[in-house]
Amino acid sequence: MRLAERIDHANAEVARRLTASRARWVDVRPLRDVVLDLGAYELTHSGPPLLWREMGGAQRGAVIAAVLFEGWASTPSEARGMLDRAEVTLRPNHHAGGVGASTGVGSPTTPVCVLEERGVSDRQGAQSWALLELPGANPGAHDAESIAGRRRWRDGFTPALAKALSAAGGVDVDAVVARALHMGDEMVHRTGAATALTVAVLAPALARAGLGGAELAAGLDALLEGEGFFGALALAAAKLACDGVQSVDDSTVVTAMSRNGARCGVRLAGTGDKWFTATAPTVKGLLLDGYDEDDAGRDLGDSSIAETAGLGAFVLAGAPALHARLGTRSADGLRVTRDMGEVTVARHPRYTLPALEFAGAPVGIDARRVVDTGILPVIGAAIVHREPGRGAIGAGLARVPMGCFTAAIEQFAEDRGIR
Amino acid sequence: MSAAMRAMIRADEYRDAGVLLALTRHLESAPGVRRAVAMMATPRNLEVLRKMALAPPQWPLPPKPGDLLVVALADDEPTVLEAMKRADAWLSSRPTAGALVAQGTAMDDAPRTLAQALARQPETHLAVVSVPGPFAAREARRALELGLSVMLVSDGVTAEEEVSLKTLADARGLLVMGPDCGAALLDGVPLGFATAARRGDIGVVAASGTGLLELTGLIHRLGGGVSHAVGAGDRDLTEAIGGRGTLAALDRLAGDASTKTLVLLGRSCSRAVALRAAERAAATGRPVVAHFVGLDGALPELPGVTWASSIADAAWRACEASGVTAPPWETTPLRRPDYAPSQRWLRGLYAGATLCAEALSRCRHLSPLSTNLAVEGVTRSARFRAAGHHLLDLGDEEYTRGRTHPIVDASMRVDAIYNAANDEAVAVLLFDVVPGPSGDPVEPLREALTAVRERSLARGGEISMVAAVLGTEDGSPRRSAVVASLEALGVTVTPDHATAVEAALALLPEGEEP
Amino acid sequence: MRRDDEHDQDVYGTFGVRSGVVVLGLEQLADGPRAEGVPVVVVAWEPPAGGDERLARILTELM
Repeated sequence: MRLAERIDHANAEVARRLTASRARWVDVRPLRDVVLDLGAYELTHSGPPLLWREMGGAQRGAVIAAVLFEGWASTPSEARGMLDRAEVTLRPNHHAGGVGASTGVGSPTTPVCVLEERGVSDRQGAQSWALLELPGANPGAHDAESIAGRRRWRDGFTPALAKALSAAGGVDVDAVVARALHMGDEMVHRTGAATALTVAVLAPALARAGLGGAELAAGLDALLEGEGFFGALALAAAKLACDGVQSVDDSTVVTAMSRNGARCGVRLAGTGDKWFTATAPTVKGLLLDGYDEDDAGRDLGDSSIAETAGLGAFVLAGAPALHARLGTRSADGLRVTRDMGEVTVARHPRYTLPALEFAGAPVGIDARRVVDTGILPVIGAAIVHREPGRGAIGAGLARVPMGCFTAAIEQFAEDRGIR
Repeated sequence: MSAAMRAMIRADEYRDAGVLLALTRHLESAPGVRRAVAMMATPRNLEVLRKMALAPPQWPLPPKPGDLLVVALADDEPTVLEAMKRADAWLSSRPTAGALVAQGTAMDDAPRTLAQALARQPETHLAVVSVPGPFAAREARRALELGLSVMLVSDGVTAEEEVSLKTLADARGLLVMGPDCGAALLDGVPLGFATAARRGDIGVVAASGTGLLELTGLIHRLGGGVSHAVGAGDRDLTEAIGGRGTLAALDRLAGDASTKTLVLLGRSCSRAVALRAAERAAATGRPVVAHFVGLDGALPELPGVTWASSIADAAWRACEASGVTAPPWETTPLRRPDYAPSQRWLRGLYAGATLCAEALSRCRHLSPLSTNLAVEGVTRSARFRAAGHHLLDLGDEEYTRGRTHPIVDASMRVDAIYNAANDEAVAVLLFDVVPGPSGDPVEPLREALTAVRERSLARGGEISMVAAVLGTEDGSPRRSAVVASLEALGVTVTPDHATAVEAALALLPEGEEP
Repeated sequence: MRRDDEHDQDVYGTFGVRSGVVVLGLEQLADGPRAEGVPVVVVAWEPPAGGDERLARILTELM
């Protein structure tokens, strides 16, 4: 078989596995219980690997906040000192089996949602995780009140969430995604319907888990705050699906896309866990009043694992309400989803878009097609302030840089003797 | 006056050659801007830039092939800075396909791929492909696989690729016109750089664009009409390609009720393939007029086939076969000037390969003789200047790499004309004028042609200028207007190309008769 | 596509050009057909691999 045919076959296999993946939310645990080799003074971060000194303002802020959160230091400057002296180590979420949105900084006691594979037969029991941030909180805030709030969330609510989950027997995330797609969500920045559906499953179980009235109310409020809760579940589900195709030999399908505020990285199935990076893009979109382009830092977050699995901006055609936040128009949403169809290998059988006559979500980015057509994958992204601790200042769309895909294709080809 | 130069790199911004040329013209139209260049930063183009002495000593960042370069040379610093600003404004006001929206502007709606284009317009039957050479074959193949016939305007397609494409086309009942097919007339629609011709019953299959244009233009001017003029590509009648394109075109025309006479025009042909094509044409039962430029030696009598002696002769005979008799042209009066003793040579500067080939075939008796066309027995040289009679096809790949064809972008020809103007050994300058997409074809040549006259006179001699002008009175500008502006510059214009070559030969100092 | 259907031939011509043309490359080549009232779609074409010919050749091996 010619190489091109082998690649097509491998890509088809990847597509099959990606769309067969069904995730179930089974647990909420502290990160160190899920990442067993997590060091005593280790933090995780979003995006491909980078050093402390390379981090941009937003991520640095979140890292310092995490050091304070864990109580390793009591002031930001103490925390900075520890990091400068490399007393705290850093690892990408992806390398630890999980993902985190935006700054995506995880610490040993950070609660994570744990999802399990129930679809792909040879991956039964495989797990992934995503960081659970206190909804509405600014992960880079250093002040005592913010840190205290995060600790309350961790100590008070998340164990209750774990109990409720156990009582409910878990939540079928795959089913929620399929339904929420018909309700105008895209699973990353617009997750209100999915969150509401999830809460509807959990609320009775939460009540039965023995929470008192005020606690229960606070907990439900927290779940529904900003409607963004489901985002973490969607990311973990996407990570689960993509990890299942990590090393399908000869496939040119993208298995991860991720940004860390400095670099944007891409992985291909046929080149294993090697990251192909380029400068992280700037996000083009709508800024909140009082901010301009100079205030923005470069794009960051593992949330693009969603687009890697066919969700997020790839299903923008189904989430027209999001345009108000992104500064785009309905026609743009249709255009993006149709364009992504040009560079992907399959359409999802269960995740369909009513706006496109129930066409399936475009799944499985073929790096060959990206390089050939010049159509770069689009990702939805928050625009974060470049300075530590200032939080998000807008939202928009970004494109994953061509450099990632050309480097990936070159490596893929070289590994197979083509120069 | 010391000049100022500035360069601008716009990263990852692709524009096609026509757009880049329009930008160049826009920048050069500003007073004080001496030279402007806009190009994609491919390795070849960077080399061209270096040769033009317009590459900065150092780039701030090494330019990538996907980057757009704008370079301007102006009288002074403020002017060149202003030029850069104008370039930025001009480009920014024209969004590219890949541009992302910000702040509520709708995204560009253009399809990015052939498949998307077809989804938008499923009744499409023809793809006109003029992308840069290295990518042309792939796009043509995609078009064929999607069920479209292809007009392949691009050059730079290899013979192997051409065979592969035409074989695929045959298997699917589709046509590939080209490569290097710059003009065609199908169903009365002018394609590529073609000018429309009167509709009638003469079907044409021609190798190259300018040959097709000369032929159909003449048919129109003689009062005849064209049903379809199909391009076959310059190499089609060679052994390597075996006439696949020509034969497919003839089969298609055979099935066209409105075609009652056939004209075959080829160049650089293999004798065997050319004859096979003529036979196939005759087998359609229509009267056939055929002319294969440069095919020497007696051609056998083929029933139903009339051999023409030139493109113009082919047009005459086709009209006759079609029942149209036109009175003969009036002879153009020639004025032989007083040449300086140094003036000896004929210099031919052509935009069209077939016309250059026709000139060459009528100049074979001249010596020394050279050309950039690959012709057995004739010295090959691509330089502007030669010590002898010299005929250049400036549309050849050698010149068009990194640039657009001379029909679109006359700058290469202008350079060659200036070279002739400065050459005291040139006696006669012969060239073709082909109506292009951008208005007046004489305007870009005006200054250079004036220089030919003035500089040769200043040296105590005079260079005779002879031109063949293609086009019709229905074109824009009208052919007569083009002729008039050339005559005002002192250029002798004959009614067709064959007579232009005759005139050029007659005007040589020794009055060389063929 | 062979235009064997006579009706189609009348409406769209022997070569089917009048039913529609796609242009890839120089945008100005759309002008001629458009002036004749032929539906034209212009593809916003960009070279594959960002214009990098070596990479384009690698792609041909992989696709």
